[in-house]
Amino acid sequence: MNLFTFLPVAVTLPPAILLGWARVPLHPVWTARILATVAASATTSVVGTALFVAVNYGATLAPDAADRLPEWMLFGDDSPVPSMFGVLAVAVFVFACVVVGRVVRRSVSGTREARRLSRGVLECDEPVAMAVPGWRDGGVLVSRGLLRRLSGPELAIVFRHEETHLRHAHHRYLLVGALSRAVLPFLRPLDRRLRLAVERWADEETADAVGDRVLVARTIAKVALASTTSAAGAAGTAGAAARDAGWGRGVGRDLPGFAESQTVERVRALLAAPPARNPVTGPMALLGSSLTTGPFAAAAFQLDQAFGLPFI
Amino acid sequence: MARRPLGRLEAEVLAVLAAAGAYISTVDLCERMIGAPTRSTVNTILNRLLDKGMVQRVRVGRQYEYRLAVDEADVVAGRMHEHLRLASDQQYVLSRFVETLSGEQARMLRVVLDDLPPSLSGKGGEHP
Repeated sequence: MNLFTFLPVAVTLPPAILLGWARVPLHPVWTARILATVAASATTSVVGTALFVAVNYGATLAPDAADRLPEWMLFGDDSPVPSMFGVLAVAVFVFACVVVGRVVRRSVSGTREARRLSRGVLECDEPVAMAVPGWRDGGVLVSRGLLRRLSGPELAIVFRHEETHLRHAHHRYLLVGALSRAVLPFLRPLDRRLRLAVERWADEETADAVGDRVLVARTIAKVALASTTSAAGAAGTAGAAARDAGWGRGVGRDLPGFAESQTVERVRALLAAPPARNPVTGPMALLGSSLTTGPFAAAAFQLDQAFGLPFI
Repeated sequence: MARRPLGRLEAEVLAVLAAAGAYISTVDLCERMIGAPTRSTVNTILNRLLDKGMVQRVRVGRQYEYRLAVDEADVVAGRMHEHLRLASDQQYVLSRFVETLSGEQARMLRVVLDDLPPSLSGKGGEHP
């Protein structure tokens, strides 16, 4: 073990932390892709490095068992791993496995419930609309309250927005964000930005399809204000109950005063001029971020060693 | 045409029907959709939506015409607790169209809307 062991983490983590605080000055399509790439690389690097160090710590403790491991899984120099690093690595890896399992389990059960509910209209007064991923049984889940409140053109905007989510498989981006923030809680700002970018992506595509940015902004505002005013009491109790039930843990998007609402940011962006499409800058930035972080994430899992690829 | 997930097509059919605002035929519907899916695909979607109670249809001549079914039930149960997990914003891979606003955030949103030039804000100024 030497300093190079931690190179992948040292390279991939800073951009992930930085991009949680700095705004990416690109079209949301590219922002979302870059943020997802960076989040995935950082998380993979940390988990991979933890696993690698943990395995070598095991080899330090039980040299006999280590003989049966493939050569690429072990440090070349056969140096013993200090307990401090070893225990930390084991702890990080176990923690990561537990939280990843929990996020995946909840995502699956949540999606399953949404599919079940989307066989009809949600009978509640609060305006709800969400895209439900799934090849055959996916679709859109809407509530009676939404259908009653919005006019035809406004409903078209909502459906178009959800269709964009489904077309671009945005649930995968959200899963990457959720996993990253679960494994590395300090990546929470990055996850927030990723979620915002995905919503903005859908908003922009909807605005392009409908050709009326202001109407899209108004529709979002209308639904958001209806969620506050009509259901203030109900939403409050449901939110509190959800937090008690453990659903709110670690997400905290509805914590009052936590930050400016993403809805406000979306409306503001739609009322401003459309963002540049970045046909060159966007792909370049994505390629750049993938090339700088991707190989390191792979290296954290010793893939370069495993496949005998020269690296750096 | 590449096969597309039915859920995505469902969302698109709903968007087209909502924008149309009146009964339209399956042929019209197909034409207004991106990538012109086949009639049979669209019929599959429409049947699903009928089952869900989200569209209504009338027979016109030899075929059906469809529209979005809205606002038929005056009574709304209005209890979110039954759908607790979804009604709260807390989901990992599902995201609601908008998040629930706090009072402070709603105030900020109104400020943003009030900044609209009067020419633009006349259209749908029904927000409370």
